[in-house]
Amino acid sequence: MNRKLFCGINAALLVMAPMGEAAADPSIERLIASQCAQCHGTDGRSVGDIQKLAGEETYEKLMEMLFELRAENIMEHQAQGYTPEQLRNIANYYQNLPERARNGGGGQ
Amino acid sequence: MNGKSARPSNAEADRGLSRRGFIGHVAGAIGLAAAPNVLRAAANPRVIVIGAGFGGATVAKYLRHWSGGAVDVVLIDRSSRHISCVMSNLVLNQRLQMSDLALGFTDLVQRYGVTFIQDSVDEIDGPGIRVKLRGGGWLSADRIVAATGINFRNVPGWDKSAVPHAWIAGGQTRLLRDQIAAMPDNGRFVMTIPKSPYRCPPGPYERACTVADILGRRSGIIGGNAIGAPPKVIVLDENDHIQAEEATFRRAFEGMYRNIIEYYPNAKLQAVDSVHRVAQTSIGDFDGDVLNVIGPQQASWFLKTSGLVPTSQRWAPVDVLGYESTVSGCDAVHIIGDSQGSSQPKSGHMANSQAKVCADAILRRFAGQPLNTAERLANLTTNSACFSPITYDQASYLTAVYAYNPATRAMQATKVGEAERWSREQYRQMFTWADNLWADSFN
Repeated sequence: MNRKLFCGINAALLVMAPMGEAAADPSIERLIASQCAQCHGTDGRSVGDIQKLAGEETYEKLMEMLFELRAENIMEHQAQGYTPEQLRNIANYYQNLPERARNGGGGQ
Repeated sequence: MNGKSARPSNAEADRGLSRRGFIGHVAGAIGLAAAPNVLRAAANPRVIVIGAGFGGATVAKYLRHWSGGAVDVVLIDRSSRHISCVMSNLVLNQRLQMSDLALGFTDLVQRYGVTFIQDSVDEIDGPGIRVKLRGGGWLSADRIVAATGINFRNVPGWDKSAVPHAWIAGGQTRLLRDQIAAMPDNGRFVMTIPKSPYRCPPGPYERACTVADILGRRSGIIGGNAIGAPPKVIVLDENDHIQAEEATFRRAFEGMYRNIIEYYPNAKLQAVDSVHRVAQTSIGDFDGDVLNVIGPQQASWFLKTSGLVPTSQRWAPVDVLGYESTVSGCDAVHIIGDSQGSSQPKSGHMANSQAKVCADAILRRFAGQPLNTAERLANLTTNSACFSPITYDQASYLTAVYAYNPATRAMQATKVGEAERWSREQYRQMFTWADNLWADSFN
């Protein structure tokens, strides 16, 4: 219900992103990160046993997938479609999202 | 947030609605409980989304989610729920029931505050930014998103009630399932594949494998207890080669299904004898106990009659920065998913992917921001991923990532990968993938 409030909190979290490399416009990170949600859940909160992304540090793992070129599973193939900068933006975005949606609501 | 879906009666809808009139009209339809919400929303920009499949549901949800409720979204569909094409081949071998494919709009309405109207749209007025409902009346908006899937092109003699496509899930899926169930054990299944682009590039080949598995097990060919001639799956492909997961499907067709599947490239469907179930093609006539025509496809007919698909084209041309129509004067209309004409594959996963780019673009337009900043272009990606059942308990996968290429101003594949082998583990992952795709789009 309190969408505006949550929106404010998320925006604040993004501004405080610790890595210092965040995109100048936080919604840019949101745009590219949302492309993971088909499999990893809206805002990285997946259903079932696929990896959750919200609150997770994934940058190192994504870079391994990009450069080791194993391509033995679907995610390794997928990761290899992105540039290091794109993967950094994706990882930044999810790392700074709360693991659970507040109040379990669908809004921000 | 509104609590209930809104469905206007014909009498209510039977007038040209100004924005103000429309808000009052929806408030009336959804009841007093929602009135404060609607009144508060009166200053919000409004987006009409036509079609509640993967693309439409996703763009409606993300517009509400990302705007924090500051954009009003009206979602229109002729059905009260969507039947997923994704996973629908598993109804044919009865691993899933039809009810497993039904995706409702309750979360879109109650959790995200989307206003749902059950009706058909007959026309889009692009320059006027309004849509004409079959129930009567025009609805106006600040932006329109058309996510209306495919229509079939005419094929002489094709009666879909006798010769199903089962390429739009629902009654057609049930019909094909029942026809396969009634086939003789050593029967002959004939299917046709249209020229690309069509919905779900790997889907026809996945279907061929699924049906070969059904018939092979039933006849005893698979399992080694065969008596008599093997069943046949005749695949008539208008394309000159397998269109997706080529290594996987070639291995299946030429390997374990070699006694069942016969694959013919360059077989263009010319006419159908629906009574005798004969596909008349450029390489000859093929009759079957069951004939499954996956017919040639194009954008929804009303996009054409609305001027959004130019003469001589089959799909709606768009600018992939936001899926705005490139037809003159129609740039407030966005087309996503199967009906749009960019070079990306047509799939539910891809429609969801494009919907997020579209939602982002609409929010930027409302905020007066450009779509073509260097930072946005460098992060403009879409992707498609899917699993394909190859047997009743094993699956393969396909994945592709697309990124914006400034030189061509198109989305270009940066990585396409397919499984090295099909497996039971991937069959299990297929359900997790589908659950998440359904949830990200509808819940």
